[in-house]
Amino acid sequence: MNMGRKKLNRSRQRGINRREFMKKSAMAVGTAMTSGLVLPKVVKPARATSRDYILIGRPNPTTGPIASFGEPTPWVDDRAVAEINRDGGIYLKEMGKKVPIKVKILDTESNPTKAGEIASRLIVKDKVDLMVFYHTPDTVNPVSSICERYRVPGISLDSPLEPWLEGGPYHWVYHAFWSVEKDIVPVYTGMWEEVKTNKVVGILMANDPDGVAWSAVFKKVGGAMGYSFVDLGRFPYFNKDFSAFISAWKKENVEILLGNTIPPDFATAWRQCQRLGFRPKVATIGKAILFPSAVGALGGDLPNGLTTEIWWSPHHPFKSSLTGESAKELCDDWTKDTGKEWTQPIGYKHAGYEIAADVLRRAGSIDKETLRRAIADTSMSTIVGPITYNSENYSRTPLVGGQWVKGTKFPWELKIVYNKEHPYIPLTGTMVSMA
Amino acid sequence: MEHRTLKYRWHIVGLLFAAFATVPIWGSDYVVLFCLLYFLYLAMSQMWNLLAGYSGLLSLGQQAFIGFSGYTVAVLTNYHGVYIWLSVFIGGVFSALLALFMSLFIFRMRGIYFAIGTWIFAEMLLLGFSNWKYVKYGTGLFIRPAYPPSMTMIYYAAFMTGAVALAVVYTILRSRVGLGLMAMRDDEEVSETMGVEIFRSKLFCFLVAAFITGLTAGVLYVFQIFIQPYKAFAIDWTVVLVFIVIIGGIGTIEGPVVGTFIYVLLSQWLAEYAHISLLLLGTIAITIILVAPKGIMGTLQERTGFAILSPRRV
Amino acid sequence: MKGLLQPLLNGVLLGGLYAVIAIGMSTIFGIVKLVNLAHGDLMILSGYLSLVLVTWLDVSPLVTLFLIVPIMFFVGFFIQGFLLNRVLGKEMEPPLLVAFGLSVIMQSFLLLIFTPDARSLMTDLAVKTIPVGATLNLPVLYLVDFLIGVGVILAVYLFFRKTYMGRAIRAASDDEEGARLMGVDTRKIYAYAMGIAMMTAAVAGVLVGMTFTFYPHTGPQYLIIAFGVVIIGGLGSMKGCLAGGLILALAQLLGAHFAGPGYQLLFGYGVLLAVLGMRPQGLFGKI
Repeated sequence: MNMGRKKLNRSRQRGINRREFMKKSAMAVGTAMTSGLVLPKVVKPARATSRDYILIGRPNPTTGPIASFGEPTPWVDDRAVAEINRDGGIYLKEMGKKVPIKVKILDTESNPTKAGEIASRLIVKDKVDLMVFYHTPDTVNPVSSICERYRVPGISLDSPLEPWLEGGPYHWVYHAFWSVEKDIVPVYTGMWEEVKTNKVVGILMANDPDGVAWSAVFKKVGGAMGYSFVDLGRFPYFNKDFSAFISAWKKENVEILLGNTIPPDFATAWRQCQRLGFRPKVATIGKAILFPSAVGALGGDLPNGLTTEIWWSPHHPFKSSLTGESAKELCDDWTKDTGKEWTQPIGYKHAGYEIAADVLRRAGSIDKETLRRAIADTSMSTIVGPITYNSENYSRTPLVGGQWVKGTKFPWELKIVYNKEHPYIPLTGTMVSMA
Repeated sequence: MEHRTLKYRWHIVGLLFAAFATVPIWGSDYVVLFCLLYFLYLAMSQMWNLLAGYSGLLSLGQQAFIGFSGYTVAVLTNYHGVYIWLSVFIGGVFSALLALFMSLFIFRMRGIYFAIGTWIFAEMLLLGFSNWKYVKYGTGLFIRPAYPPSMTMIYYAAFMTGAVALAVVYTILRSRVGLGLMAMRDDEEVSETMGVEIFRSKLFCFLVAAFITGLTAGVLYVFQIFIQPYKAFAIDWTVVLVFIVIIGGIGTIEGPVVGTFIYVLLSQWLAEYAHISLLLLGTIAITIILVAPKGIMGTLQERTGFAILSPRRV
Repeated sequence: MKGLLQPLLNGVLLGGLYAVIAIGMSTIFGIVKLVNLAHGDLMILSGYLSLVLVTWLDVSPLVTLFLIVPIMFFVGFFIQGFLLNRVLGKEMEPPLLVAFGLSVIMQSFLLLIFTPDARSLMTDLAVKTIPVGATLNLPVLYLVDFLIGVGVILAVYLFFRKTYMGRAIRAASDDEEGARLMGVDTRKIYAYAMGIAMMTAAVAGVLVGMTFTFYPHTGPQYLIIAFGVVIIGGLGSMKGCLAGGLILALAQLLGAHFAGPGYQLLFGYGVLLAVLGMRPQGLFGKI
């Protein structure tokens, strides 16, 4: 106690008691902060132009709930980069020579907050020249916003258009994928038309960007097409019991099940459907049954006949503009190297690099505005189809319908059973009723 | 040695203050980003420390305030055109009101019941917001003010919340409220003799922590732009705060200061190792806590008596 | 009323599963005063272990329990003995962080080994049902979950009441100081307790794996179920655990029945808060 008082006295004598100190420092800080806002940066290090490579930022969901989407990274990335750099890389006017590209892959942990932090860091620390990112609104939405803030050109793929457009209008980011209203609805209803049903549809949709957008669009458009919907509302992730849904569907004599959920929830729901004796003629589910592993985990014969959207497959008649290989060759390579069945994100991951390489070659520069214009002018054919961005910065990619059946090479294989909007993508099977 | 540090501590604090206040002038964009994250996490972890380290309120529900305030900011700026920083402030006020409402239920619970009660409350908010049409269910919202603030503005907002959080904790702990709480923490019998007063002090700290956590979260989401209920109300937030405070040293003001620095540094560095970053983070956390069970600053203080910002009046 | 029977039946059966998920956490809290935040992840670890054995030996997941339960006992024994015991003290927070750390490590580890693919322990039971009357279905797998769950809780209850070892553990935890003075090594006692808790987690993990699908990051969603159950029933109480499981599951299913499935989980938590409002220490908890 005594010591403290003495110390206090001493400091008082020297004229810096705490209150005064606070007052002074507050004033000083106030001045400093105003100057920070007003003054330009004086000693800021100049941008490193001496770098002799082009850096692409790649936020990727490597861990967490959407890790299945991120799984083909870095396999796809390494292959594509090796191909681009094969004869020296990209010619840059500023440097008067060819420079290689490098890719920096960071993990978003499937978390939009982390994705935003990672994207900021890629831009300000690693000073990436271009951002390439994919996979669901959880990755694409936050990274797009950060690219817009820092004015960094971004190429984005693989996330439905509607939730992405919520964050627009975009100036720096260009996106390519399908629309729920213009692509999913015709493909889904088209598949339903192939089977004779009473047109009563039960809705099983999660409470997330996809589920909310899909259910709204289907009820709006489907109603006009003569479908009636039994909708008990959205449900939160990891629901463990769906008997309330199922008994309502049974009561209303539902013959078509329409869903969009994360894979574990669909597995819970679909098993319970079997147990409670609910067997629709058609079950068309978005997102949950994209991956062969998730389909296999349903168990037994449960996957047989489930239908879903196909945005890319080995049967798509497109070639890579980078390697010249066909979709089938890319998938076969993946199976050869990993022993696993192909998945739809592989093609889109590859296409991201096709667009990036094409843009960089045409721009011949890493100036941000030049790059942005080059992206806007893109008109090319990729392994996922033609890419041409419109005035709202997006390009629609083709969508067909598929059905899971017992396979020969793998336990379950996805057959293309509907292609009315894109007849150049060949059918590999015929739609059958599940009942 | 110890005396000299103490004598000059206000100089040191002042210098640091001035240095951080001018970061946008001298620092690169990355330094600004780093400091911005630092101050945001600092403010939130100081508040968790105030609750868990001093008031005996082990909260696992800080994400309730983070998400609630983030959504307040989003709704006010998007739907009502409120000035962005005003809506951040209102976000803080709403968080405090939420805390007041929560206290009706959970202040009867003790210890671990309190911890889980706060978590369950946050979980209910998550479900509530994802079921609410007004905020577009689970789709999430982009925070889009008419005039998007510059990074410098956001940095200063973060800096202010960090500095305010530090000052508030320091002031509270030196006040009657803080002394009472610390007396209770160190000697449980005291708490029985001053029951009502302790209850008020705890409630006061809970509300203050909610206000400042909310304020910080508002700034955080202005920086993040995109908010979505599943992650805004996720326990992940509190896990990070627990990491920071315990690594740094719980029940010390310096603890979160050091812990936050370590966390932000680690998360930036570990991001390079995409596949194993979380594995490394977990291992580092366990290693530190085994080597220094009271956290870095706690163990340091125990061994050397070193404390720059001791709240105790010597 | 007729429509109400199915949710009631499902709720009771699901409640048994919820209870066995929570029993390990409840035990550990009662004895070691520790909140094991890695409980869910350790459960999922058992699920993966069972998966490995099922693929190797081509047996039913239930048979693998004979191997997995002892394995998990040792996992628990070592986690408590070498990690958690070292940070156990007056403060509750350091063990909390260690458990958090374990949880993240476990998730990353499972992801590295097993990839992000969905997994499940498939049996023929999964889609079998026994029709009861005209409209009611009794899912066989849920019945198995319920029976095994209740069996496990009964076994744990009897162990702590009737066996010498169980009573020794309880005595040591009730009066740690006294036990230490008597020359009992409380740390070792705690390690045994954690081992036993992990044995129940092994059973829970296999049952969950048979009933639902799982991923490396699935643990935390079961952690919060376990929390809900123990909080309703009262931490450390076996009876409370069973009651808590039934109440939580019934609240969820009846909530879905009356208010719509979107409110299913919300309803469960609402009942939880209501219980806590009346009895802040849970239904069967000691203060």
